[in-house]
Amino acid sequence: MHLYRELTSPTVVTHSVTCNLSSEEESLVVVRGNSLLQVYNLKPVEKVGAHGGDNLSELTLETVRIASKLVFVAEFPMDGYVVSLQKFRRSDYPNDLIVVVFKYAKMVVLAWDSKTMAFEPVSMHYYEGDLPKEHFFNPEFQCKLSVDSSYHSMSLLYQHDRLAMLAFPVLSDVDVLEIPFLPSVLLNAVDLDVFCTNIVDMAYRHGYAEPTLSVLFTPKRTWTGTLGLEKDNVTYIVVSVDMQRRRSTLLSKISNLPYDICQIVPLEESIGGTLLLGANSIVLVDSLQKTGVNEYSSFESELSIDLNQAQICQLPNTSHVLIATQAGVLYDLEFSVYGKKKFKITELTDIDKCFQPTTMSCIGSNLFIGCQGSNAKLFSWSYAQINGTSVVVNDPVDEIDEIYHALETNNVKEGKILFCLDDELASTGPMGALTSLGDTLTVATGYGTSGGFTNLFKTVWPIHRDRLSLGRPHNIWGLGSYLLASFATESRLFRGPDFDPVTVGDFDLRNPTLEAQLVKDNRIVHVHTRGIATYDAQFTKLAHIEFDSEAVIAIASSDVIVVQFEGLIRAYNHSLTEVSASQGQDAIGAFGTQMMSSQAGHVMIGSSDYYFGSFARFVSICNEPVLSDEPVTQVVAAKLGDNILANNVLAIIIGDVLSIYQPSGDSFVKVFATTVGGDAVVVPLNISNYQVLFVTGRHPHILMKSTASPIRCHPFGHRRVVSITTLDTDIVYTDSKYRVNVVSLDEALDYTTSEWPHQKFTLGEPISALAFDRNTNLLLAGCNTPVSREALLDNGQPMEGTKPDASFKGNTFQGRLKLVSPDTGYVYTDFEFSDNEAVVSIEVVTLQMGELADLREDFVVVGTALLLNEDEASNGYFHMFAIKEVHSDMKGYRLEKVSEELVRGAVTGICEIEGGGVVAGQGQKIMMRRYRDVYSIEPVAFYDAAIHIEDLKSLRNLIAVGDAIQGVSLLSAGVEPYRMDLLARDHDFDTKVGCLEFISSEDRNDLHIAIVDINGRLRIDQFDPDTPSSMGGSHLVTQSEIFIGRRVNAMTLVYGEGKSLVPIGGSTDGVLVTVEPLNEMDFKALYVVTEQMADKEQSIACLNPRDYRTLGCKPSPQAVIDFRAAQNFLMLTRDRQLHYSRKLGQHGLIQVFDAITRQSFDF
Amino acid sequence: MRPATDGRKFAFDPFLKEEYRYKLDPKRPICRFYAISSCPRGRYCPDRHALPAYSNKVVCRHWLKGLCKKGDHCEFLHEYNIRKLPECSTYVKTGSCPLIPDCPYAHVDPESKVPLCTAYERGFCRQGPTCQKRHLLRVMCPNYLTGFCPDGPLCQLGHPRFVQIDDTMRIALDPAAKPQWQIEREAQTSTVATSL
Repeated sequence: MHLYRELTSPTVVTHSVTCNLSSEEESLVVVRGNSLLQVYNLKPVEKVGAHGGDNLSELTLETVRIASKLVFVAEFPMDGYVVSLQKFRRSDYPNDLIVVVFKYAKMVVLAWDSKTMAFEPVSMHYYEGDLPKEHFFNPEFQCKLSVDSSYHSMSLLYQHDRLAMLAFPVLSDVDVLEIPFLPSVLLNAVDLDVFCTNIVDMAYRHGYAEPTLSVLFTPKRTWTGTLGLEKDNVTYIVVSVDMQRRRSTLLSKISNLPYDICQIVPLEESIGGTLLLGANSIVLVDSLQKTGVNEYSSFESELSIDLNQAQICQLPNTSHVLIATQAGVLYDLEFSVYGKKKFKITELTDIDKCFQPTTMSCIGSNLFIGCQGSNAKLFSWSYAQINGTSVVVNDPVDEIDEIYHALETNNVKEGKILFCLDDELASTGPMGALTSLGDTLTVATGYGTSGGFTNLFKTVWPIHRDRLSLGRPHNIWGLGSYLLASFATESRLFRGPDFDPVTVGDFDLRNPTLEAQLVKDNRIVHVHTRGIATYDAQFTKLAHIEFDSEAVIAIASSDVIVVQFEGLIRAYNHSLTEVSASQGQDAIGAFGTQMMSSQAGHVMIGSSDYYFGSFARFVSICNEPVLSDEPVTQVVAAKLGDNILANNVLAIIIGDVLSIYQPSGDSFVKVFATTVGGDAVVVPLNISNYQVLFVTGRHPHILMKSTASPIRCHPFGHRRVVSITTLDTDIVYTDSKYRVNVVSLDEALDYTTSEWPHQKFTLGEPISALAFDRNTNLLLAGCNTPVSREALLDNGQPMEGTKPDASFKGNTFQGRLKLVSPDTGYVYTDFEFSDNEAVVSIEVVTLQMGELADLREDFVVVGTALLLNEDEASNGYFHMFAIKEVHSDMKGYRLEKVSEELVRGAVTGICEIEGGGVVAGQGQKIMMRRYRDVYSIEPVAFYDAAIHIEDLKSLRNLIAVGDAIQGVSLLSAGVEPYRMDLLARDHDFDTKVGCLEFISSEDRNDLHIAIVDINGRLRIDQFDPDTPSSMGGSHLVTQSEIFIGRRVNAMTLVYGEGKSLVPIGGSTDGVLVTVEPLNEMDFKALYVVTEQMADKEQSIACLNPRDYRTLGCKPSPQAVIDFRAAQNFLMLTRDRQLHYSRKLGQHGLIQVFDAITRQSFDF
Repeated sequence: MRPATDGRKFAFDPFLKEEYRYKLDPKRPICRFYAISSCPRGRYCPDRHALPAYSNKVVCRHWLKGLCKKGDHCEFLHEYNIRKLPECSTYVKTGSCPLIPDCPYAHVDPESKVPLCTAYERGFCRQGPTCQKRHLLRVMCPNYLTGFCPDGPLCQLGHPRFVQIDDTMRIALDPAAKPQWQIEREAQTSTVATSL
């Protein structure tokens, strides 16, 4: 019984497309982490800065220009693994549609609904059928989608030799307009050409009236060993496909292309032709000619540019093609389109690097580049003014246009293009090694020069400024530089910075205060138990009214005040004129037309009042079913956002659930929901650059939002917050003991990119291994810098067949060990290893000094790999260091080498075992060592593994070993005598282990192992000798298996609920994942509702969450609860929640809420 | 930084204790029945099943290769104790081994076999560089020299005790010339002996 939970959302942008979702403006649709669909709009803002390029002297840095800012619209977590995202247009839809392709040949067409701010499915196209049962089925094949630029058809390559072509009805076909799509045409590769097989890539050509496909295929396969026999084996064909008659006509064919050509890039009509990309070569195919694109203009040429997995994009209506390489460098491929074609490749040096680009899209005059190794960036581009002359605009008329009746004629511009950075989508990926520092998690992130580490905090810890002695106030309000506190019988006013009690102007402090607020024109509204008064900024009384009886509740908004007496509710405007009075239930909220001005007409539908006295009136606004027995605790209308854009939202607490609604069209859309404590109260605050919602109570939370992010909810500290307000730039709150604390938020943290606030530090190189030393509170970061590879043998001689004078060489890594402060990122010392020695693993271990005395000392153990060739480790080193303090002008640290040992195989895993020993996985051997003499260690036990070790983790004296092919083994290490025994192993020999970690619950004292393989599947094995299926403890029993769709690179062990041990892993797309043991009651509650929701609730793109989680998994005895599916329960309407929880009994809904709350707060 | 897991209890700990004999007291007595023939309690016996000469053994050569068939009944040590590895015969004979570093046997430096000089360990050896035993140079502990070292015998630096060292203890010189009266006495003694 386990719960799989993604602690943070994916942040790495993997796919993007620009389209007109609504008729108003162009939007950017991105997919993060292959599963999270997000929609952004562009908002023009003023930005200080200059364009990049050579003309910086002309534009100074103080220049204010109009930049584009990405504005978050909506996001949709999808229960599918997205492999492609495209747009297309249909005649019966006014706006663009998007096509999302999922793993295993699924394609869904979605249309944007502006009213509900959601995607609606238009059609679904499934082609996988019985594919998995066929021979030579490749389950990991990445489907490729290509859409015709004239939107007549689209093609999906779903296996190397299988194509599905989908045609759309055209406007002239009046009879078929009723049909959204013509029937799909399923083709084998040989239907295109008799020699066509093993298709590498395909794309539609631009400028053809009929759908015309360019196909790249390899009829004869080759690899490094057979390059001498088969080298130029790639063939390129262009075929015209007649969808009606299901026939294809071969237009052209080019054979014997280099074996590394793997990508087709069709160019728009402004340039024409097709680009073919290889590892370091570019070939232009144009009118049956093929031309190498480089300075020599020869056919088969070599560029000193690594084009492996490069992203390429043509700027619309220009002769420029941009290439973004994995190293982060952008190249401008400029074409001269008239006369004899000339080509020029220019490296763009003045713009920020985009490491490991995954997607490129042009949106208007902006260029969006999604990256895996750094933040996704939005550039704006424009033509440079060269010597005062304007940009040349040509209007070519080609014969081809006349023949094929081109849809439109574009003006082609030529000239130098300048780029400038407009906005970024922050990313915390790719997450590599990670280590925990108590409440903080430190993760290696970034690639290249943006590499470094990120500190993630699961709780917002405010910076404590002061604690005030104001007595024991029940509630506090900030009024400018004054602090108003309410006590049992009176109120007091304090003025900073000394916070002495003062009496200012006419301010009435004789009665306890119910509400005080600064409203527009610097006026102060003060509601006490005996009346309401308004004051100016100097506390001069402007107006006041007295109550007949003592008021008990008062709620004030920006334009209305609601006061409740015993059985009577009255509403006043700020002129203290009564606008409404009625008998009713408890007053729960107030907002008027001014706050929701843009939606005023909608808000006031069905209600002429300015307050909410009962739930029935509220639901008439929010369009939710009436449930009279539901206790609505509070309704707050406020702004949520940052200083660029703040949205009007409605926060409603019903029971233990806080829901956030956003106005959309005629109604409200629920955009966020979370569980809060029963005593929670929502307080809108204005903190520095953010307008936030603070939730007081036993579990205080802070809700924040930025322009480019959805709503984030962070736990705030660990104390109960009774009341809270802001005073100037600080936050003032009273805790459970009614002490008044003055705190502030750490402005260095990023609160909105991820669910966990984080701070990123850049070291300038990627980190491959990470460890934390608790004695010095320092991080040990193993960095590997890519360096040019000198292909040398062990004896220093060059390898056979290499070209020592080649200008373009492969890469290898140079390892470094850095001692870094986790708080500041300051590097104390930097130890460089020998050439071609890469750091693979680091661990801080405590070794026993001698056998008799219980004297222990911490050492840093580093495992390295000696890279003989590219990606090939033959030997490694086992290094041991001690951290020594240096006393000089400022405190410093240095690394002292204790010992080193050359071992066979790379040292891929290091762990510490009970009893003061260290275990290292080195090649195929697992070696246990102990401290021997003065700064030396000796091996004391070993175990021979079947294959090279991939990951190695220890808990007490138990060692879990994962290898790349044969799965997982559980070993036990003994100290007296020194030995290592194989306890059990996983007999599923089909697990390519990526990483693993232990799980242990506190109450059951059991031991599980969480294993994530390289294909994104999570398996949970248990070591239980009492289970018959464990064959007397010799087998690890598989309990559960679930598809998580992420490549988890590393996992570490942290404390979960109580003393249970749970793993946390970091994935390539920036997601923190965890697996937690679940008690039986919570498991039952969550299982019942998630199973029903999977069957009955419609998810985005019509995907089945249950099928997604079992993708490629074997049947297992126990299910794993997906916490995101459980959280979706909060987004349902009340009647749906009751419907699904009814199976659990009378108190089923409470059980489900308790289970979700417990899992939310316990971690 | 991983959570401290030393001493954590699991439900299968009794299984490990019975089946693999983990978590047993290393100082428990040796089973007398096992030493004679066999123990009727088998693996559930709380005492140590080891022959009295257990500590004198060296590591089993066959076990190092994974080929020992005797299992628990092997008279050699089934433990990767680098100090008890059998010596490589090739290295002993020739001073080199072609299988280094893959050779599983111990390659002991001949010089390390020379015993330590006890006089040098105490603080002074009269033989100096001509001593046949090994002089292991240690840096004197500054704490010990000033009177007290908190690390005591665990200190890795030298703690010379200077016991039994007097003024006569110094590097041996050439024998001094004998006095005249001693020469005459020895001559007389030899003459008497000859006459007798």
